[in-house]
Amino acid sequence: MALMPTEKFYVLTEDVPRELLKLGGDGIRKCYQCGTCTAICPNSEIQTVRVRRLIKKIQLGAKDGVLGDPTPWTCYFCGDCNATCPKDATPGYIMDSARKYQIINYSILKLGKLFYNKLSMALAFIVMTAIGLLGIMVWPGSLSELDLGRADIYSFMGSELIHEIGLWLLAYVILVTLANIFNMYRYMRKAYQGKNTNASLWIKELFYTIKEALFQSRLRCQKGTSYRYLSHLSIFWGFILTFAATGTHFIWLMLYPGTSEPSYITYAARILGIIGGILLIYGSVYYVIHRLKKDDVYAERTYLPDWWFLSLITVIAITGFLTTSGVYLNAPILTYASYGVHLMAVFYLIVSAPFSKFAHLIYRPLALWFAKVWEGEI
Amino acid sequence: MSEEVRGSEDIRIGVYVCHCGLNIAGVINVKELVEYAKTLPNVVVAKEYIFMCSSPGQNLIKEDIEQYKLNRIVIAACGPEMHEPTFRAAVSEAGLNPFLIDLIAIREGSSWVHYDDPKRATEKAKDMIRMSVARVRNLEPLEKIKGEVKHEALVVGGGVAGLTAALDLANRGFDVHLVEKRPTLGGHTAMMGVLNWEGRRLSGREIVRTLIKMVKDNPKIKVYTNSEVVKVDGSIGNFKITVMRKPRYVNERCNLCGKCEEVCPVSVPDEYEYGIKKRKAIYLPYSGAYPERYVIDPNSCTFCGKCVEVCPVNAIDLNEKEGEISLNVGAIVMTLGHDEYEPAIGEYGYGLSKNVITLSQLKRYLSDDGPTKGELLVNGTKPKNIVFISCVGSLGTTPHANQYCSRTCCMAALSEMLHLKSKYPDANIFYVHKDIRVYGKDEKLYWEAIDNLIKFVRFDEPPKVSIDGNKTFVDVYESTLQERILIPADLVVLVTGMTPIKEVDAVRSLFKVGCGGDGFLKELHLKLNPVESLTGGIFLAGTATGPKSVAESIIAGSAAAVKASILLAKDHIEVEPLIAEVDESKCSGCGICVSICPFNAISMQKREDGTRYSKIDPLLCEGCGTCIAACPSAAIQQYGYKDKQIIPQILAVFGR
Amino acid sequence: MKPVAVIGGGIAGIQAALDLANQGIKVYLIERTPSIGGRMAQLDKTFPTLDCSMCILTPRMVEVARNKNIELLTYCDLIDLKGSVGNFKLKVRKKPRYVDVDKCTGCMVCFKYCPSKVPDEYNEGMSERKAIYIPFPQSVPLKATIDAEHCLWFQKGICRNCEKFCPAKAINYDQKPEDIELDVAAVIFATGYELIMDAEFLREQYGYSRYANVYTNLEYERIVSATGPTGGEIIRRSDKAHPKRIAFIQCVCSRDARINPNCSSICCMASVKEAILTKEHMHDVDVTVFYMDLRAFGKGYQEFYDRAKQEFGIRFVRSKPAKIVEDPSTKNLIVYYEDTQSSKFVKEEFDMVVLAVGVRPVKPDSFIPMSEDSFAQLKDPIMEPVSSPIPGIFVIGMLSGSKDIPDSVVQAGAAAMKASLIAVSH
Repeated sequence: MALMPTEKFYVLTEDVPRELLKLGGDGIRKCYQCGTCTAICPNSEIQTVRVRRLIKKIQLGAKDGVLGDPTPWTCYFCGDCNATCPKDATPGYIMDSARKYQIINYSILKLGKLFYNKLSMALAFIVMTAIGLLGIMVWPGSLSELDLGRADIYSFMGSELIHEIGLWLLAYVILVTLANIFNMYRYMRKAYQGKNTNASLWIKELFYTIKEALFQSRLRCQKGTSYRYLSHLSIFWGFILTFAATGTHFIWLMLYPGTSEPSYITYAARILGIIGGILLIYGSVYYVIHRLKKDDVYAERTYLPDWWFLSLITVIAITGFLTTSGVYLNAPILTYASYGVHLMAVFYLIVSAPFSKFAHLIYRPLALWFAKVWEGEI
Repeated sequence: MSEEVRGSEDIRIGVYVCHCGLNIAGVINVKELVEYAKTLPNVVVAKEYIFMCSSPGQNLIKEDIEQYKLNRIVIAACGPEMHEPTFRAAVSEAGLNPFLIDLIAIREGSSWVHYDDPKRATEKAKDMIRMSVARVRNLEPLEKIKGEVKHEALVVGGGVAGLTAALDLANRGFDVHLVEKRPTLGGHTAMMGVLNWEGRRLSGREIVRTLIKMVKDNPKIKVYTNSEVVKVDGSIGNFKITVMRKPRYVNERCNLCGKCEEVCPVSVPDEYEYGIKKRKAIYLPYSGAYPERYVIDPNSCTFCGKCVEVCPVNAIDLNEKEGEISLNVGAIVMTLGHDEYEPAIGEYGYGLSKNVITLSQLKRYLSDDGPTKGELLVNGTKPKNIVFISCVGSLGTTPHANQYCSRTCCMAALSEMLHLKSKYPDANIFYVHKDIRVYGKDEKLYWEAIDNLIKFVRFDEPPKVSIDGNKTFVDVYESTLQERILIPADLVVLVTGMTPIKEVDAVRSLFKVGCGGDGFLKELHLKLNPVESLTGGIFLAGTATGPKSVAESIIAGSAAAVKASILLAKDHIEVEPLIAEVDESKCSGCGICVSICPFNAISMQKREDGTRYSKIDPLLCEGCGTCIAACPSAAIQQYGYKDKQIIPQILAVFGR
Repeated sequence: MKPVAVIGGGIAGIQAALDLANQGIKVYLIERTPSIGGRMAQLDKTFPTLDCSMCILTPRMVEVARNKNIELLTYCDLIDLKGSVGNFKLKVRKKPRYVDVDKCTGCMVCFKYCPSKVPDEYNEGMSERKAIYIPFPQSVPLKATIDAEHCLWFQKGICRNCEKFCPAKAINYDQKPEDIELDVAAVIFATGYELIMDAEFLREQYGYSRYANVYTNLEYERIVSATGPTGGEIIRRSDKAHPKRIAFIQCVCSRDARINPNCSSICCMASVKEAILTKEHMHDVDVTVFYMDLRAFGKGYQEFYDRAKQEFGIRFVRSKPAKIVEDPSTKNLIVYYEDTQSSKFVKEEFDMVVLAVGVRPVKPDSFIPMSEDSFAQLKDPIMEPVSSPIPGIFVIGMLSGSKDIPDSVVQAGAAAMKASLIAVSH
């Protein structure tokens, strides 16, 4: 086998394996590169997906190689690799740690780092709570007209206020996410240097990606994951529907400000919201239970970022339900308490969105898209 | 050997056909064979029996010898492998010379292979019996050849294999002469640092120290260091050895004060430290060496005499002459050891940069008893990036590399990497390798190395080492990543293999021991006789036959000792007389037989008139017949298979 | 001089017995099966010399039988071991063969008439022997044995055909086990190995015993052997056809954290050898060996491996296949693997798959301390590598660690040396 004629060398950085160890990739201390994981992985049908190769890059410290590898985002943690690995090197968890590593390193200013360290996370939490509480208490238009006799969420915080804060937060999320995505693209492009693609391939694979994102059939096909599949799909669709519900409501209020009377649009939104809420509760509670019982392969270990994301979703879902119940039952204290918590939780979720596990919502489809487009060139 | 007068003897042959249960009788018509045999000339009696090898069968023969005065026996039964000795013993008991029988395998040769054609099988068996009768008619009585056995052993080489063999033989009760070419015992193991084998960690010096102490305390072992064997005569059971003791120039008055060393003007690379430091021409090999005494290296000494002047106990004598010692031993154990592969200048940057060293040199640096007391400094600082390159000089990776695998390098390299990592936890250690060839329980060394984040870089194409000032770079194509990697190395460690010792050809021709294609000494049989040579009485152990670990060398030393013990425990050896003999009068002195004999049993002798003839040592000859076939003068015949015995056998095929 | 006992009649035990007996020391060679020979008797050819295994083994077996100093106790179990160095008391149970060994001549007539068929251990269960049997034709001693568990007389009270037809009148159903006591100076254990047949794992991951055309290395060894169940024809179980594509998978149940972390040392070379033999048997067969590290570390091994690649065109792929799926119509096997040298994910079809299963010792009933890795404990792996921690007891061959034939033979010599020192001083 002749040496490649390119002058490109993989640059090795020492901190890579150590970083990944901290993120849960302890299996890199065991892997002897047999290739079983790649061979058992259902995603290896996509030629750019190579579990073993990624682990090798991590072990050697090829940072650009690790950051430019779409493999971890195609992984649904079916656990087959863990089960067949002869060294018990838990490749599934190495993929998990690679995802976190990529989230951290794609994030602008490497802000993601804050969310993967207990101390900095605690600090970030305190800061966000302070800002949030301050905002609730001090921001004009909030809490000032709290109606204690009736459950009126708009007396807790005015709709225009929520609208405004929402828009700011949305802008923040979009901008930061775009910056992060750009980083991801840059690393991945570098890894597939010198390969040409054409526009029609991009469009064809885009359809594939969107379909996969919406229906997640690749997870369904994986062994023993039928309930997981349903639960994960629930969370996803739960989020989409509640987001759509809230979004529709905002847009309605934006177009028709000042009305607090329901119309058929708002009813539709509410129904969407309720369905979404139920799906979210089902999915998140399913995962909480399994992670507490540790009775499935992905649930054996739960790291701080996992709990952060999962508990926020669960809290949002439950408090959303409680708030809506409170409104219908006209129980003001229940309503305001749960609504306050709900708003805080949403706030945490959105602020941390580009840096937390939530980011997989965008990274997964993108990576899959890149992986499919560049697959033909391998 | 006695030879009976031919022609006047009345040949009386008894033929016995065995049924072998149904193995023969189930196919061949045994009665027909018996009747046929009776018709053959000189056959006095022909009988059949169901199992000739059984006691009644043997008794039948014995009684008939007595009753019919039989003096030749043909047994048509199974092959000679199992029962020839049985029948030889039986006829012996009846007073007949055991070499006057022939066992013809009508079972393997006829009934078993022609089970589907009984008629022709019977005919074939008749032919076989006729041939056997023709042969046996011309057999001569022979006596086993006796050789004396001296109950002393010579062990050549004082490394761990030789020390172990010497101890086992001495404990078994034999006097042992242990000859070592260096001024000290211990071989490579003493220079090794710490070794790690199957979970046991021990320093090489400690192993050697333990063995040397036992040798010192054993009165049956005589040690001759700084000595070499220069002449070997004789053969199995009776070797006459001449040992040349090279002068040490320092006698036992030496008190290790070291004053001589201080004033010595000559500095040369210290071979006991693999050249990483220098020693003087007068030096102590290492602390704990045996004998623990200074020695002068005559190849570098200028004989200026400064050391003599300062020696407080007058231990130095520059006029010491070499001495000759004559030994007479029954068995020889060759434990010559090995040399390390020396990379060529420029091979992976070796010799072009002081940052490219061999694994052995690294082990000396990291050893507590080494020249840097275990501290490794590269360019004055602790090393950061250390790259080990495996298979240097092995697996044909470079043009003058050997083809064979050196077996122990992977385990040694991994062990040292772990040692390095424990001393310098921040170091980045790379192992640039082909295969990871630890085996058995040492697999855990590999797992431990991965656990310690040692980086494994696999190559098919050998890496390139480039030197830029005092920076070194290793450029390698990682075959499992399919990417090229450039590693800036502070230190490059070449993991080199073992080679036979440089004097191997000279030494083995002295002893008439062969070598294999890889240059290492050749065993009698690679699988089942791994510690015996093709020369009777000479045994092989340790790395002299091929790369192996210290533990494996120790085991081999004991195994060679047991083979030697089997020989030495006898009062005399007895060899089967079915050997070849040269008829001097026919020999033309061409020497073909000498070169062709696989057992080195033939040597050329000179007559007074200058002509030569070859002579076969009856104790070494295995009766293979190769020399007989090769001799252009038909001067060699084999007892039991002489022309006059074989040719009638051949002619008998045609019914004559 | 006191006698020495050797437990186990494989090549290591045989060599140890010979090295002791040839010094004039009496040896009891105790073997639990009806014949000595062990695993080496099951091999076709040995690596790297491609010697016919039986051809180089049988002369030693015959030497053992002939040697006046060796008392061969086959079909015997060691049931007790007491005492200390120089004075070990062994209790050995001579299991009844139900055949009088003084009369039996090994003529093998009785087999023809025995109606009871048993899976033949010598052929790894791939053929059948009778309840009265001789393990293999070159057995030493060449005496018949009745396997009572499968004999119709002992199980159902019928038959007794062998008794009727034996020409030497050697059958004796009334034999009883006989316990004998031996007083020896030292004991050498050489009880050999078995494959690590983790049935569930082999079945699930590689389809062994589920798919017809998946074999273990020992089974394949018998198939290529002329004395094996197919007469040396390489044909597959499902359709008796000659396979055109054969895969060898290395490190099955070895180098595996879940089953056995040790390397089994010999399987790489055994598979290379079997691959070469396959090519010698059939010229138009494609042989692929899936390995992680091809451990050709011994003398002559690398050269043998080079020959396999260059002369025989055997393909070596650095990969550990993850699973095997059977094509139900052809019974071919689809092997899923990643070729790590090219990072390609491949699903390749083969006609036959041979698993190189790892080895572990046949445990000698806890007379000697064993390690957690299933091998016998050694007193000191470097300084006293054939001694068990109990003085006077030695452990050699596969019992103390996976190793090839030369290493077993050398260890046998070393243990015989040490044992002889004890024997002559008592």
